[in-house]
Amino acid sequence: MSVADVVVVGAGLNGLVAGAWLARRKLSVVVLDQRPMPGGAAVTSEFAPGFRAPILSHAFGPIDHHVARAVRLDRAVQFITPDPALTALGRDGRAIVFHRDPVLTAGSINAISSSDAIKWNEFLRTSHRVAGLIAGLNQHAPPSIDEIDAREYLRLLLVGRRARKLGRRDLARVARWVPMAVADFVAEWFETDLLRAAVASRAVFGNPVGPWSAGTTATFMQRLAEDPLPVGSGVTARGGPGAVADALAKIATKAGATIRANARVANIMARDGRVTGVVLDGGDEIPARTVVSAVDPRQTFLKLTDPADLPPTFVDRIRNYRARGVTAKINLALDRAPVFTSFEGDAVPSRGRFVVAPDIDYLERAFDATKYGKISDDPWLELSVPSITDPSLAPDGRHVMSIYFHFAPRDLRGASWSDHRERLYQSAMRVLEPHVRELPSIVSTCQVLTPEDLEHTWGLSGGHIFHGEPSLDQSWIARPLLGWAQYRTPIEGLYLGGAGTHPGGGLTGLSGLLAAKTVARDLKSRRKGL
Amino acid sequence: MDKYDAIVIGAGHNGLTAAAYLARAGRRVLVLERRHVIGGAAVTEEIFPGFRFSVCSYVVSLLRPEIIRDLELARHGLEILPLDGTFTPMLNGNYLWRMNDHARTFREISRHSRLDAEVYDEYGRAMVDMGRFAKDILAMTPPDPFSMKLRELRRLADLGKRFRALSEHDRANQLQLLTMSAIDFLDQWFETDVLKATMAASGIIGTFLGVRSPGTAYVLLHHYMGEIDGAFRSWGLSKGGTGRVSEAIASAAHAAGAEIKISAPVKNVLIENGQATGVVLENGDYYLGKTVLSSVDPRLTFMKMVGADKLPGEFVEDIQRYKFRGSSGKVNLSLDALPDFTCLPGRGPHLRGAISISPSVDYMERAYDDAKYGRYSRRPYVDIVIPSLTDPSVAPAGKHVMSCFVQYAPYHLRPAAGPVSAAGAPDNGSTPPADAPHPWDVERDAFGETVIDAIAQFAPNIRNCIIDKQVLTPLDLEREFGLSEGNIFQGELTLEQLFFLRPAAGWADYRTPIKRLYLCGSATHPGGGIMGAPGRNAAMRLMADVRG
Repeated sequence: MSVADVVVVGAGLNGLVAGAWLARRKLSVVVLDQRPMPGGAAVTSEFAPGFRAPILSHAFGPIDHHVARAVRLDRAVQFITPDPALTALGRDGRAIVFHRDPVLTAGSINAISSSDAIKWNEFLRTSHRVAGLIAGLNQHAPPSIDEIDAREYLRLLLVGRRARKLGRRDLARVARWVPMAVADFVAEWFETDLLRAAVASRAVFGNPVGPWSAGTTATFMQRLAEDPLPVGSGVTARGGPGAVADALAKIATKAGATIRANARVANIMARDGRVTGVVLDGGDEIPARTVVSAVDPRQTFLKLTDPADLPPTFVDRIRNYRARGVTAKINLALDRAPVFTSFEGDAVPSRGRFVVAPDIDYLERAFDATKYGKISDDPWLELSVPSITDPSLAPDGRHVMSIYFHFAPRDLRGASWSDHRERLYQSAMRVLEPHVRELPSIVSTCQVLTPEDLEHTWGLSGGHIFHGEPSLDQSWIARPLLGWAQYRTPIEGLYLGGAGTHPGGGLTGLSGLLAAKTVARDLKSRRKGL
Repeated sequence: MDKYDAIVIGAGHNGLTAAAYLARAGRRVLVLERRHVIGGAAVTEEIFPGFRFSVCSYVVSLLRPEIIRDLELARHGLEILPLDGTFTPMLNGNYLWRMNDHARTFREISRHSRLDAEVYDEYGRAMVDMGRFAKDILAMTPPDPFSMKLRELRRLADLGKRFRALSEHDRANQLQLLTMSAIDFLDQWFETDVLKATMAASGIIGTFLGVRSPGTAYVLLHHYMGEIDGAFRSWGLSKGGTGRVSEAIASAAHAAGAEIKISAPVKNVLIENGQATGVVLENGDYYLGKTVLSSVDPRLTFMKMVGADKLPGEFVEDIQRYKFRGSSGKVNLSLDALPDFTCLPGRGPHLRGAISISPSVDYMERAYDDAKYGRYSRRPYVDIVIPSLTDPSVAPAGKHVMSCFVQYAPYHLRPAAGPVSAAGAPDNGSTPPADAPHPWDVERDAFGETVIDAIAQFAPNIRNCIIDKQVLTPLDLEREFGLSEGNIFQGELTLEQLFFLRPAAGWADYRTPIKRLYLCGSATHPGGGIMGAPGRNAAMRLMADVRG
């Protein structure tokens, strides 16, 4: 049996990007995934007869343009960038509509607060300057602490120059903002509750934090470095996120990679501190020179790796790597197009996403519940109706609605998720009822995915959608661990390439690309060495 | 008129420390105190006849050993008495009692968890290692990386080098301590809920954060830093009350020739051509000085005494944004008998240490939840000491003083309002009429009762022991002690307000935009607690800048 150059574990976005990129470099690549279709969290599938939904993620990070270019993705997929991007639904029928054009957004804000409308542009300019510094860091592997080689040194110098160009005032902003609570950050800019909450919600998305948690401004900046709209662009693709996964799979296959679905890796094998391949559930062995694990660090090291192959302190540290999921997902099949009560007639901005989080306290209270192992009584919701921009997803005149539900902690105290599915659905409907006419009566089918489902079906440890919390001690040079942020692991030839590595997070594909580049460089120097 | 070399505003322990260092260097120094007594928040007062209270600050933590040495504070009357252990009663009738005695603490923690007892030592050792790294930072003037000057960057790089010199494990610990929540950090080590709750409590003192809020882990270190200082016990009670610390420093300053005036509230800092030249008092008296040091907080210093019009716009913005948000209160009780805890009855040695009402992590976190939405904790965290057990001089024979530090008592109380649903009516925060009493003036008594209830839950006899009580709300701390918004550290100790950001980026070196005006209080690096480091660092800075 031939030995693959690279086996990629997990065919999510990052795994596919890594696989496709490496295959295009003429390496023999096998990408394995436990599920019946590639895509991981980026899938579109039929959840009710005739209705297809973005089962998990309904928007991309968006995919970083370097990634798209590196694997020639742009030509293969038709991306949809909805405009307006997001509508924040407030109390008493108030709403703010965030357009791609900041002037239109300011106009919408102006209906509630003229001073906030005036500030919007300055907010954008200032925070983009600051986020630009982070965006620069996102394009490269984090520097190592001990052995800074010439190439890293040069890169740090460039970052330094860039920082210097930012100037004293902005640099101080970086230092001040990174550890700050996003609630304080938005309060420094805006007076309107609804606007504050819409911006802050992006910083607490997917993580067991509230807007008053320190460090959430860093998450906001990280999101802004990925996506120029502070509330997110909500980029998706014709055919849903699954179309992107399919396109990537096709690109990889065309470049010679093998993609195997329904192939669950049971074990990553190693001998004398070097990786030798993987064993599948059925016992099949796939020998490989390198293995890139695009699944999360906890799963990689606590389930797929023999602890005897790892230093004990490393295993301890991974055990303490925090990945506490708080996100649930609801997909609805609707008999009719939903009508939002805030809008009448032509003004209905049914494109893009909608967020229900009227103020900072509301978000914080929703989060409070997780501290005691409970589901939020009043959850904050982000929803989209992808069938409006992409009618192929539902039968004529019908629609699908995709809802993110926060907060739903993975571990319920004194209760199990199987008893709480219905409650999750009911409380989402209760919160949405005042905002969407005839809900829930227009719902024909619903699918509820709990954090437990995310863990069991998708293999996300702790049900955490970002493969580990992006807290300050688990970011950049410390993602997943301080000293192990360069995609390499204690096992030679085993790499991490999922969202649990820098820059991680919101479906940009960067982690996969940066990991792949590290693999290629290491393979090259090994060949030279041989 | 005579001209002083330095005029110090405020005779708190930091102002006095700065004055003492300057006077010992031969400078002519004048210290001006608004109150009728020196000490600021480190003060002993006889509130009720015969009972002497450490009114605000109640334990001496991390008073820098170099200050004790340099100023010969022992000779000037400072004596620190050990505060032995922490006793935490629990809701289920059990308790946790950690003592300085190693073997007994091991046995005690074993009662809750054998694993935790074993790990406790290892944890202590790790913390001591971490503390060694952090300790030197307390004594340094923070670099100013924002200036992009080579000299400043090199100083930052030096810190980086020291970080690199740590082992992989220590580095990770250091990063975690700086950024994590106390509970997340402790979860990695321990399983006993009450142990984690009571250890984490030290991380929230004086901050508007909960034990699960990121950024609270760092203070865990402080408890271990004292051990590094060797023979000196830096965690304890000052004999004669906390005011004795200030008095000792004042005595050292006085002996070196410094003048200290009480009941001399400063109204303005005199400024000519962008340079501080002296101060004017409320009564119109004025004093001229070559330099002025302010140990009061930046809001009072700049917005009241200097005036926004004399300062650069960006700096004013930064100072206005500087967060205070006092979150703590204090209840001082005079007792004619000792509290009797249901879980460990009698007047045993457990009453001599700290008594911590922090029975569980949830209890602590719920106390914080109340504060987040603008009310004081219905079941507050209370840190109690009974100094009269260790130092009988502070109370009449057979009677006691009891100091209860309380959290949370947010400075900004909101009108009571239930949770509002996403679609319901907005909370139209109607503004109260201008002549309405401050909410804290309305709530003070109820707040005091809440605190006593929290104690009575574990020691039901407490109500019958109380002779008198003094309740200090954050509003009282502001009015009486000049602490803006009642923040006991002169500004929140959150990461974005620490080190080179304290109190504002570019101004962490004790200098201010006004030439010859310096800050020397807790609002400068390394911040609050009875450390004295800000006062000392500022004096050093000044002496390097201005020759005597």
